[in-house]
Amino acid sequence: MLIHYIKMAVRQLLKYKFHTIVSALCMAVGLTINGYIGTAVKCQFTDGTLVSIPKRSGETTTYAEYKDIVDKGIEGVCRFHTHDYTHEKLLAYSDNVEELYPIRARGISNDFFRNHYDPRGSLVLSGRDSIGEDEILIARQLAERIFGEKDPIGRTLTLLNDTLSNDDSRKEKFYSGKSYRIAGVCENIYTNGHQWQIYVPMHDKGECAMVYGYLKDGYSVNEVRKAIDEVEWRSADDGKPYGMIAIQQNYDRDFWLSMVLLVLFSLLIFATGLINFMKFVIQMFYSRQRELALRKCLGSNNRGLYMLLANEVFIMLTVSFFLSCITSELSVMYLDFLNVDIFDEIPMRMIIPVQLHTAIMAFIVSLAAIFLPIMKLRRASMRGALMRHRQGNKMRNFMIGLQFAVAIISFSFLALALQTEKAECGRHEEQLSEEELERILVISNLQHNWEQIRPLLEKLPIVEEFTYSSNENMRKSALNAQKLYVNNDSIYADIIAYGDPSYFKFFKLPVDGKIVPPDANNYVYIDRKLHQALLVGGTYDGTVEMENGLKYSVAGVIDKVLTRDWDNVYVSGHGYVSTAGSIFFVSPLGLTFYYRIKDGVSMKEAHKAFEKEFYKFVPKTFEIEIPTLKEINDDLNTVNRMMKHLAYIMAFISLLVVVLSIYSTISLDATTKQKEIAIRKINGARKGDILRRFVVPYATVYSVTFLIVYPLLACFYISVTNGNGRMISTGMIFAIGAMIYFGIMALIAVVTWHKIKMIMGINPAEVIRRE
Amino acid sequence: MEKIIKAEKIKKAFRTEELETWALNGVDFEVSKGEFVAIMGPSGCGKSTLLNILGLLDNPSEGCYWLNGTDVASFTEEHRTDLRKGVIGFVFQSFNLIDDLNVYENIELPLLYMGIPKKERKERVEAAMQRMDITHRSKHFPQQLSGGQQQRVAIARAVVASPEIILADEPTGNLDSKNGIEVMELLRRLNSEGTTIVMVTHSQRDASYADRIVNLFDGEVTVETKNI
Repeated sequence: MLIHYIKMAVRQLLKYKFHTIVSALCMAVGLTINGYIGTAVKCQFTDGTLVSIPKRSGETTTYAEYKDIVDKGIEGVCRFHTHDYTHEKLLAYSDNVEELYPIRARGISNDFFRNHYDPRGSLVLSGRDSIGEDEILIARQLAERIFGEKDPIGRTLTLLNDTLSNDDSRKEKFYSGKSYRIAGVCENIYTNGHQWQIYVPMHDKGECAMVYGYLKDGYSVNEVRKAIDEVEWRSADDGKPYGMIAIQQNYDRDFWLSMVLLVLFSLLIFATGLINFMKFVIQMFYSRQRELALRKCLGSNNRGLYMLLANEVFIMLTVSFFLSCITSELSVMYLDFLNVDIFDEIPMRMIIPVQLHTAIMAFIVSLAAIFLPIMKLRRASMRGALMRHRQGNKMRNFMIGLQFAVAIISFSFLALALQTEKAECGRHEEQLSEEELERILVISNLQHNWEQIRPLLEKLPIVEEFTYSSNENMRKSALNAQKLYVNNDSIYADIIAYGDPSYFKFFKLPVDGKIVPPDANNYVYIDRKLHQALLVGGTYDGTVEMENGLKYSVAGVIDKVLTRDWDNVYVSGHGYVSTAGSIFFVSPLGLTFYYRIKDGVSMKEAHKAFEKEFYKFVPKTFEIEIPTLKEINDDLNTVNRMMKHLAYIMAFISLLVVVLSIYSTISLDATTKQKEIAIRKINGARKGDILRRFVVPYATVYSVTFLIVYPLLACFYISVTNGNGRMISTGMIFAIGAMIYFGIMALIAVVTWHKIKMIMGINPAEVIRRE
Repeated sequence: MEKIIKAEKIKKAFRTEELETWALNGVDFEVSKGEFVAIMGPSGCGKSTLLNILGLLDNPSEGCYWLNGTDVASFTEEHRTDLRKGVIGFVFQSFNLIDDLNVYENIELPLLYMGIPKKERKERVEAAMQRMDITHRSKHFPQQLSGGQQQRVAIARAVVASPEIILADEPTGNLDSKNGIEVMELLRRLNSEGTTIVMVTHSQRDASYADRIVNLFDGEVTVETKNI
């Protein structure tokens, strides 16, 4: 019997090939988006309430103390783990081949991967959950560089303190000279945006960046604090007592909001797919009343009818699941191709189970949903059935409305975000042409013997001009703000950079004032906007006082307004603030160095000349990156472009699902309502009447949905962006609304026109004859 | 007498990729105003096809067709629809009522498409229901009615626009004899009030209500008999 049901289900689905494919595809898209975003969001959150346990004194906890804490335990806390600070000044060589490589490492506790949910951790250790005292994990890229192979598990790596510079680093010395066995390899290790090349076991005297644990079920952070206070904690070094406090880790509002929006968005797309899927199955069921009646006449019971539908659902969901695996693989490949660093890399083996769970959930929901029409069929009175049919339209309209809502939300959000005006923002390098940007070499954050290399580069005959600043690159300027005092008034300003005032000449930024040498004490430059703000009080005397009490003379005013790319800036102790302008501190120290190469010198030659100077002081195994300013700009623009690109893709996918779904619904309507259309035509309906018959319900549902969703969305968007310096005018909101309203409508009209035209042109005589 | 329907050498072919079937093969057919004509013949002889062409639901492949003196054979679909409105009413064997509409709404349908104002529509629908004795069923849906009642609704829908012609395709085919007779009586009454009726039937009894019987065989008119 089961084979009969499967056979019938396959036939039925093949009978409506197009609708089956569309429904399965919509469902697959829903599963893919839900699987990917679900996995990504899951990776962002740990599976419990994370608490950090710092010392009350603010001193760092040593790894020995951490082990003591773990041994003693804290009531209400489980799954302790810790890691230390960055080790950027380590060198390494492999298997006694003393070729040095600079590496970036992070020390972790032995139980780090066992107790801390890290989706990549389990992969890295190939099934193990901890590393031994003499073991390390290595990133694949580094493994390839050092060992020339992807999986050097079992080989050794010797770590050294950075002997190339004379900087005696306290942190790195624990690892210096020690050989480690490679226990695992991973693609990349990212934490908080930093890429670690090596995970190394912590040394007893190493400093924990933070001691972490998870709250046990039923415990609050206050109970944990009490438990901590009840134990006497003593330092492992000197035996002195110390206190600790438990702090619950909370994600900030923006993070939560973005995660909630992402999940909501993926759920809406999934719901759209599921609704379309269910709509198709139930509509097919209702259009087969005659077959079902015949089956009942021939002895089928409700269980038989249920099995018939259940098999259809099962087959379609199976197809959808496999389709979603393909689309997921393609999506991951596409994201890899784009090299988008939105989330850490998510392997397919993590996405597939989420998709499978979602598909199983969808199957259970579908099984419950198809139970309803069958029960109704059994209990139906004629009138009840008819009334329900009308109610069914309401339900269907509601479902279509929900699908429209997804498209409106995704497109509106995208359009509103793209049209929102940012605070006036100038870029440092925008006075320079593309050709000029191509001739500027940029060196950032070099540590190895940089003090010896730097004067050699400045003296190179190919270098026309150079300057430096503290900012890592153009866009990352103004990482924070500073509170200034002008007499008794306070004002916040963005810090553009610390650096050499030759910066302004180098970047052709006009300055009204004098150019002071980089070692001039207590001088600043301010931008025109801040200057105007300072003048408002009438007490500005050419000096500004910082929060720490230091007074600075304003050496000049920069004509351009230079500020950050984002709107609110966090100031320690003050929270997020909006700033009045920006400020540049004169300083002899720099992190980023800019070299303009003379005209006529090829950039290839310039690179070679720079590298030649570098390799006088660092081993050949050190990779030296000297990008041009244009390359840096392109990289930064690429990220923006990619983000927009991704937003477009998401909006496009949601619209595609909705359009396909509407097309499928209209198409199914056209098939099942042929007789009604024929009767209407026989009774005098013209093509226009038929068109209205099809379009009006959809247009009404769409318009009502739009009128509900768009104003809510606009209000929500305004409330979210309010106060962070972003602005959008009411006129623009209306204009975008109108554009989206007519845009989506036109798109659906274009896609469904062929089907509607076909139904308008049906020959009633033909339909009646077939009947 | 004035000819309301005049068809000459009407041919109709149905083509598939492999086959061409001639449903009508040069039919000459005339109906005078106020006449009641029955078309008889075996299944597949082209009766319904002829009725569809006469009712402007379909175009002939060849031949001429004058409706009220207008040559309509080559009219476009939209043109035919406009011409049909208020001129031709249809009654089918399977009633062809819309399941989602109640009795009132089904009868109202042709008036809606004619753009008749609501008040007038109401009067005309109520009059038609009264005439067919189905007023008490106005809120019911087709599936809640018996076959006879459904056919009466179909006839009410056919006559509500006061058409000059009613085309009936085996109107009693799905009815028992009692309901069949009732329907035929209704049609005769309409005919006596001046409506021209062309009816396709298998039933000699039903055909006996007509003034004239036209016999079709293999797409051609074979015999014409006048009922006395």
